[in-house]
Amino acid sequence: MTAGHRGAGLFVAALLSLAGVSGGASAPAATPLTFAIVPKLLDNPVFNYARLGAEKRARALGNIRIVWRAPQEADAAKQVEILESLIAMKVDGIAVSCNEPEALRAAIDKAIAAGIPTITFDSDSPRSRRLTYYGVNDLECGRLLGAELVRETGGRGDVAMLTGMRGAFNLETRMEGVREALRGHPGISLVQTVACDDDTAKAVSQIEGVMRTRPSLAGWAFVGGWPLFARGALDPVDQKRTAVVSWDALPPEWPYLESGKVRLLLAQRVFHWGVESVNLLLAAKRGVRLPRHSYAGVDLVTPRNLAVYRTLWKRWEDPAVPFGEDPLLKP
Amino acid sequence: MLVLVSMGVLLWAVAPRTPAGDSTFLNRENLMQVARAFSFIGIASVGATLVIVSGGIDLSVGSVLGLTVVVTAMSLSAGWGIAAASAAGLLAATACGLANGALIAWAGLPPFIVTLGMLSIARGAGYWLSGGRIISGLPDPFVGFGQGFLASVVPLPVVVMLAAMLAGAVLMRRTVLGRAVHALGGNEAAAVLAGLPVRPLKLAVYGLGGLFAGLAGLMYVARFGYGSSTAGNGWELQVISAVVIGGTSLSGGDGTVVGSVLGAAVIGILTNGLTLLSVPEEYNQLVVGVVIVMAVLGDRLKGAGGLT
Repeated sequence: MTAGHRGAGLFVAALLSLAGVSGGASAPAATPLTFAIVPKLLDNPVFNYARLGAEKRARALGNIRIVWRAPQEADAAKQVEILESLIAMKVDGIAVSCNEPEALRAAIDKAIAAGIPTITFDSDSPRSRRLTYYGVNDLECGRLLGAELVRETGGRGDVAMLTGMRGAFNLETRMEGVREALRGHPGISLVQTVACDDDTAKAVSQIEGVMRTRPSLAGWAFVGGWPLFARGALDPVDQKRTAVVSWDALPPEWPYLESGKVRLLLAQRVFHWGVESVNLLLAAKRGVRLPRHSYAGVDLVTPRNLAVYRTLWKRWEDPAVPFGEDPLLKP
Repeated sequence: MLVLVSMGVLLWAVAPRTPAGDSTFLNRENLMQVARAFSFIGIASVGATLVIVSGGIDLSVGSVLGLTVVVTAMSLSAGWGIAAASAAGLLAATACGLANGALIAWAGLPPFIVTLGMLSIARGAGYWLSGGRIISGLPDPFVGFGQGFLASVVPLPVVVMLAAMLAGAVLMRRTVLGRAVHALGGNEAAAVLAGLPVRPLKLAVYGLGGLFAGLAGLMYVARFGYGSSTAGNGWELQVISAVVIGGTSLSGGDGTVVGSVLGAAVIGILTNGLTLLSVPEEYNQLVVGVVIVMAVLGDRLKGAGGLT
């Protein structure tokens, strides 16, 4: 791993030891707790891993039930309805990934007022009264992705950027980070930005289009992994000439590292969205005061460390291996 | 056709040149890439044309495509042969279409509501079956087909689109079924009085709508080599736009499948052209909308029925 836990993991561990709930060995409470987790939508594979993480962590703790609720498609208004029904159900905690920061604000505040510990993960609502936000700092990680692109291109040449849905708060912030990182390098210029509307097929055809007019492109930054779920998405890209760096490192994207078509994947801790949501809600429930932000670490996955990442991923996915101190992550 | 030709000439004129002075737009490779990119919408638009000419609407096309993608990819990764997996995918899609048709024909429900329900049902079924996972690592011969070429020039999904278009055109113009579909869409009451089997006709039309959406789904899996229940999200609007740009009347009775495939080409070429021209992302969506409306408006003012 080029980068490991950035504070947050250690931080949460410290909180939990304060709260006396470290590891899976804590004594089960008399009444089981119900934690509701509300991702942006059901139909997105990244949240599926978060769900695995949350359920595994809940099983390890022994007295926690996970309620998984989300709209079928990304829809802030539907999330508000879901939150209101969870408040009526009097759940013991809510973790939500917000489709739109301001639209969710009132519902989050209502849950807090009703005495339900509520946090955000993956996508924040900074002006709400949520106890904490667990997830990456999109601006910082955008800068990191941009810096890696500068490094891979040697700081020279024309580069392009691919985004998903125009106006999505987290994607816009990531792009701003990439632009900032490029700004300090006069030899590199961002010549084109394309948006694929979170659609893999459209992403693939846009890469074809851009490579057609700019065959000598020095690099690409994808602020989401859309095209890399498909095979052959980078066929028009000459890997010797064009360096590709991308957000996310889900299993279908790994072959691109193996073939060298992609130089670097910036992996969010998708399993930990679930794991840490459970940990943080439990800490809050036990009276621990949470900080406003619990920034999550990222893993920079490259062709050289892919084997290690693959091992880690298998452990995260394996129901029999509990989350916790991982020997592979020790420096 | 006029819109397509004028767009082509315009893009040839303004698209950047390669260092050798060739147009980046008007060259065989780019045109074939563009055709492959819109072939999925093109294939699905053949079935949608039938539905719309019959006086109906199918909002479930994108979701049925997505369900087909999931069923086919899961069958393949479970070790099924290509033929069996493809059959399973097409069967699922056709079943969705037939369910639409049965509810519309026999229960008398409005097509808009029935297919809106199916939009949600098929998408939900795909999510439930796949558990929200991305299905990757599909066998090479299948993916080889989607990424392959006929005579190393024409991408195979484009060949399938042309075959689907031909089949659809023959069906619409040269068969009793095709004429009956036109009659049904032109005036349903008259079709009933004329003794046409209106209910079985509707069943067939929506069943075919599902089948073509399924065929588009098969090509999707073969081209992109992965399955996810999110495939084709929101594509129903692109399919319906293609049909309308192609000159088919939304009130039924009139339209051609060749027009619809050309309509899909207009949308595909527009998207490609904006990328080639590096139109800033902020205006891209806006330009697409304006050009689509202008295309249809220009066509209507000309007094012709459509693009063909």
